[in-house]
Amino acid sequence: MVEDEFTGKAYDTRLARRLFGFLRPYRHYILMATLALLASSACQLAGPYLVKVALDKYITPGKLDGFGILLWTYFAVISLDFLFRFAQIYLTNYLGQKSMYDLRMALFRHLQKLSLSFFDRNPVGRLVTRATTDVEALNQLFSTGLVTVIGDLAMIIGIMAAMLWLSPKLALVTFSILPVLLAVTFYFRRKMREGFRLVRTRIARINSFLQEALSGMMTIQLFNRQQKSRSDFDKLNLDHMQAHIQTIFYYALFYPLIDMIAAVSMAIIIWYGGLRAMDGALTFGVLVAFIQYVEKFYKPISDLSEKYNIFQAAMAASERIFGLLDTRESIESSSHSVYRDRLNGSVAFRDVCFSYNQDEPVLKGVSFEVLPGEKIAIVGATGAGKTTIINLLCRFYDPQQGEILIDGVDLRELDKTWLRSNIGLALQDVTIFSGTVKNNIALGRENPSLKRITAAADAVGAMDFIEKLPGGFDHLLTERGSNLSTGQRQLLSFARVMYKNPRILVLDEATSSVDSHTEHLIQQALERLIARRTSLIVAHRLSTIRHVDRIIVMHHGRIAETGTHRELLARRGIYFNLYQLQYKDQEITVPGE
Amino acid sequence: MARKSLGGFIRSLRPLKKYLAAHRRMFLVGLACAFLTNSLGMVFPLVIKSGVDSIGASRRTGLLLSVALLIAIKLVQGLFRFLMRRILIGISRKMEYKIRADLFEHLQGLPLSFYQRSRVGDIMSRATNDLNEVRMLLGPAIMYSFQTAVTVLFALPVMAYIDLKLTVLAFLPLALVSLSYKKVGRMIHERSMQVQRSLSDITAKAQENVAGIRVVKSFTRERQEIEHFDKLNRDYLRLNMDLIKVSGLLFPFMSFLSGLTSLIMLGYGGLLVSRGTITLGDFTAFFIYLAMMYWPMISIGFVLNVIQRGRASLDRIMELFNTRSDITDVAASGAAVPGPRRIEGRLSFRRLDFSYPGWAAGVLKEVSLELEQGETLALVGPVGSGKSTLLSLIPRLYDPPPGTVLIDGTDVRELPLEELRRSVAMVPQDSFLFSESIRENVIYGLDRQAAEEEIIKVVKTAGLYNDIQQLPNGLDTLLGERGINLSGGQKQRTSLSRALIVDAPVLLLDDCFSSVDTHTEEAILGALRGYTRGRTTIMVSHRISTVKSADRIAVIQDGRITQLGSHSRLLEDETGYYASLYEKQLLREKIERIS
Repeated sequence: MVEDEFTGKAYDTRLARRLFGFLRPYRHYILMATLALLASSACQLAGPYLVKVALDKYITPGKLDGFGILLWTYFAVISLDFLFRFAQIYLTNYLGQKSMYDLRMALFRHLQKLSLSFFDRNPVGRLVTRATTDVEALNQLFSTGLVTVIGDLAMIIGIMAAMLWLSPKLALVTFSILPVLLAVTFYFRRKMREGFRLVRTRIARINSFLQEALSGMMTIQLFNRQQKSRSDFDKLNLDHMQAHIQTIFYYALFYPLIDMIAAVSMAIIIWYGGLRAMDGALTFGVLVAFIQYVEKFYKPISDLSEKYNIFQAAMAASERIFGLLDTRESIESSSHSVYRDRLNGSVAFRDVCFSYNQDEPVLKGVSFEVLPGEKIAIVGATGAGKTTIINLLCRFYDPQQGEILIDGVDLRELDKTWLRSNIGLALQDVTIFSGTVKNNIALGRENPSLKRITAAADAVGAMDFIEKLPGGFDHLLTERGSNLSTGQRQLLSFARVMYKNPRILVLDEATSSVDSHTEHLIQQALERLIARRTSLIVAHRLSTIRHVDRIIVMHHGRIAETGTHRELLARRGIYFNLYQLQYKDQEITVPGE
Repeated sequence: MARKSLGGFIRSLRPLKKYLAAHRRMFLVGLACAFLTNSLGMVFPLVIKSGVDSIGASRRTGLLLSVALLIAIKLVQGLFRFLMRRILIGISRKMEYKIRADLFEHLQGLPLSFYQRSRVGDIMSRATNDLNEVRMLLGPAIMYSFQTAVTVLFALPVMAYIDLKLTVLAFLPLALVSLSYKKVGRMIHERSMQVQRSLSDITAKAQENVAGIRVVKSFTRERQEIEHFDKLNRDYLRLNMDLIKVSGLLFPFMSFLSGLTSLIMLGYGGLLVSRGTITLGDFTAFFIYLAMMYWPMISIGFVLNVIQRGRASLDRIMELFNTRSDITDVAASGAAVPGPRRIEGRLSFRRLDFSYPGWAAGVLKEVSLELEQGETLALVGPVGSGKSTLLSLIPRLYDPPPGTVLIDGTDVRELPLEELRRSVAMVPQDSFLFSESIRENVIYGLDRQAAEEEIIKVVKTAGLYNDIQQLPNGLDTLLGERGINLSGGQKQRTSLSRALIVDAPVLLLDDCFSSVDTHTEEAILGALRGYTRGRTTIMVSHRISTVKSADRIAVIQDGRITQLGSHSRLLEDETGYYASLYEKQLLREKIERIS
């Protein structure tokens, strides 16, 4: 993925503030998790202390009275630690999962609001990645990163405090190595961060190269370019490996160095503490406790670079997520949207101009009126602007000039949901949603009544094939509807509209040829569908055109001719020729089937 | 692991052998470093023990010696640890590099039929995710299992030497660690599979929604879609929490068991110290040993997991490697190689029957056709009649039956593949361009450098010159995700330029003007006429204007040639496909003219 290039920032105040906004509803959980973590840290700190007490009070003097109680205390401490740890892990994961859930829903809701021109520009895969992979990348930040960083800090401070309490002098001597530790960590953190960014960028390059090469393999092979792409790939592959080797160097050095520093601390404790113990200024138990504390002290520090990577990855992901959330390209209902109780169903276009791209006008001043209940066919050559009229009427896009009126009200004044629930749209390319036939007809309406669904399917003649499907209305359809034929999908989409029962019907007829039996079925269904509705049909079939009251002929973004079939034929203009062309097309293809 | 499954296990890793062989010496050195650093680490507690014992006996020199030894050991150990990481992880990265390079090389040799039946996403995931799993198996898994083995092997005897009974007691909970990991591991595996499935449901839903957004909007289904997504999202949340209930227990439980070990140590060990059976130093060393063994014991489960996943991934990668290309050079199959010579470009199809592998229906049926050197043939016919298939057999994108497709009288299967493809320039239906500059795309097929005039010349022939002048960086304008998107017609013309510049004796144009407007097309055809003179050319088209000036036109219907001849000859058959295509064309032109 190309957009996976890495900025490498591990902390960005603006992003972090927004991210924490998603955590705010769960601040009680954060508090509880932090408390559990602190409690667990306290238990872990108590362990070495209890060992110290055991050594000084019971083992060294050889007096075992009350030793049992101490052992039970120790048992209680590790049991509590177990509980607190689990509580902390559970709580942090819960709040992490919850906030990811919120984020995912926010993204999905936002996607539903964006206008179609946004979807025209952004590939499906990229948008899906935002809602899945990128949100997933935040999981680690929410569930392990954030709280454990607090925990690590608490642990480090707690250990330092315990050491100071047990023996201030020995503690201070032990801490003398801390500046070295800080310097080493700081230096390596920077190096590792750079390495991490380099590795991420380079693997992203490998992947996008691979993706492209696999998609264009035919071109590579046709032009004998295997050698070239091999060497191009090899360069990227090698760069990636070298970035890793470089990073390995720092990691390989970092861990032993931290280990070394830990060993020096240990040596200091044993040497200095040992001397003082010989003098009797220090008990033996304190010494052992110190050794154990030092071991616990260095673990969070060597984990630090890993945590850093988590933050980095999370920041990169949230940058992309918020980038999507900030896209404001929705078609909004106006603030004073008009609802109507009833729709008569008149449609008017007044001098409408529209272009998808700025320099290519698709509609150049289109005006026409449709009376309630009137049936209109829109015909024209490819690219004449037929489908665009439909897109504008459904308000997938807003026109740059002119206005579109329904019952005399501008579309932009109407409530979008209300508008769309009164327009029934059947498209050329029938989208099937994975789910039952029943749900595909009712399309998610609550408590779909089987009676109405059956009636709708029956009215468009879809019952025949639905009954033959295993399970009938409960038959499961796959996403792309691959288990239905083109004709069956067409009928299914008619049934959808029939069930919705809108006042205005908009139909983009499929161009693909079907066998004559299916053709007959579709025509019958169409007749039922357009009865008692205002209908606008982008027509490709002669048989469809025969059913309508009036025909609008589009030509290069303008209306060239309007009239009835007879009138237009008599004019011997564009329609006349289109008609013959259509006629020829169907003449040629039908016998071939 | 039983012996039988161990054998199977080793056999399943055999493909890695050759990759490891290249690094065998360094790998052994790395293992030696791993051995040294881990075994030195095991001496560490003994040094602490002697230090502690020195304190007890108030021996200052002894204490100083221990402390000095301690630092010396850590220093040497650190050095080996550094070497171990660099060598072992480095080798794993180098092997990853090599496997990836080999895989790419292999993928480049696979035929078009493979790419048509596999999804790019699937191949990608094998070449990235699976490869990473295998690398984990080669690097960290080996490193950690070695660490565990050495730690246990060394610590056990020393601890047993200090006190056998104490050792046995202390090890009881640690044994539980490994056991519990195995049992809980299965549960975790099952639940995380459920989580993965649920995630892929969410992905599928998002995919479906975005792809069908037009229907969603027109049926005002947004709220239902959100509700549905919400339900899946909630399922995912619930399943994740189910998983956490088990996996979240694991780590605290391990901690608890290790605490239990310390408790046993403290109780029983303390008793032994107070009785004088063991020294305080023994006691401390024991404590440290146990702490040192804690992670390696836990890592057994982790390592097993990595190995299992690595094996599964290796299998998936090997599936790719085991897919062989059936389109190979004659040299590779042992037949005679024709000597190097210039292909002139006579094309013959002789009673060619062809069907795609795995398809019952024949695509081409008894196609016989001879093309003179320099002749231009146009192919017309309905969608799916076999025009593109016929073209794709010439550069062997698919293999024709032996003796059916010939160039200069030689079966295309007998020619070296590279020479064949160098002699045939093809412009496919889908114009695939690389995310590089237009220039790079045009000169893509050239083995040599191209002069600026040469590029300009083909670009002009292909009717792309004016378009390029409009672009911000001209020929050097970047295409694709980081650059600009060309229109369909511009893509087709770039793809045409790419084929023209290679100067091949055979030129195949597969409907490559479909997105170009008729006006531009006429200009290109005019410019092309000079170019195709002397080159054997086949062009597929749906437009009469494209094909009418060809030397001959062949109509293909349902895999058979039904009409063959010049434009005027074909028009004579008034009921034929060509004549009706011509009439439609005239009508279209008439409509265009009306405005």
